[in-house]
Amino acid sequence: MDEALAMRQRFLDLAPWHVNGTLSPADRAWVDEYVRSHPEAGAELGWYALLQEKIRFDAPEVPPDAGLERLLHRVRLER
Amino acid sequence: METLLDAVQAPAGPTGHENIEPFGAPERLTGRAGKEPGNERVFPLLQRMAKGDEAALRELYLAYSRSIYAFALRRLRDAAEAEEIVADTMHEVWRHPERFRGESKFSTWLLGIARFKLLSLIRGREPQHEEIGELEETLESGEEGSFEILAQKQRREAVRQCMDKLPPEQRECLHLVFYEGYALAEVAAVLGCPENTVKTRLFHARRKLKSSLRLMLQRENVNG
Repeated sequence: MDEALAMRQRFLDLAPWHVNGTLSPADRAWVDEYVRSHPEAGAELGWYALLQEKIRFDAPEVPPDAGLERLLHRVRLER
Repeated sequence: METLLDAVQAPAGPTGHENIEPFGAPERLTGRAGKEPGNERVFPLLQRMAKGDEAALRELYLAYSRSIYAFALRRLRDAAEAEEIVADTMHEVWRHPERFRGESKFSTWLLGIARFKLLSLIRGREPQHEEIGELEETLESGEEGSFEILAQKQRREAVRQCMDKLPPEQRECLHLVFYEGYALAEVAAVLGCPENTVKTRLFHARRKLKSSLRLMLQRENVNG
């Protein structure tokens, strides 16, 4: 594979994890360096960042105790 | 006394990442994984549950029910079924708390159980209820900017619609990465698949979302 293509593929593989903050320091540094030398790649990170924001914004609001009493009732019936 | 729920909901500390692996995560990370209590907080509760302590079950439920619910809802898109998955998952933990051995983060293990439960539910459905979800892909993928334009126009609903059209495996993958904030290995563990499969699903999700958004923009331009 062409080296530039391979680097682009590596960047695309790492981009989601760069945005969610779970990359190793070495991989994070590699992505940062790639973006410095390929400014257009920054748009890709921006795209994932917006997607992340959207997914978190969309998270359902549900009380943490929803369904709890029913579960406790079920547990007590089994005793 | 601070409960697990307090720990999950508490504002992040100076780094916001006290409880996750030292991967050098940036301060802007706000995914749930960054707030997760460590296993050392969970084990005492599981031990109490093994002795039949309902208060321990209640505490664990309050700490993790939202995470299970969000994951199940992303896949099932039915609030009642998602709530059922939460209850079934926590019931399983109640019956067999000894099965968690600390080999992964507790939430990873828990969502693995939830996924097994929801797949069983899906298998029991009539076939027509499970979507096929393949998007029409008449446009070339890869063009930058469609998402940004929509974001500027605050078309959040449009983006949600596009996400809903993704195949369920890709939707749950995006959820684990961007809502839970899991690392690649953790996503693979929850989904029970190789890491390369996770990468492939993400790649296709990205491509389909972009195509779908471009198509939507083009239709708007034609109609507008």
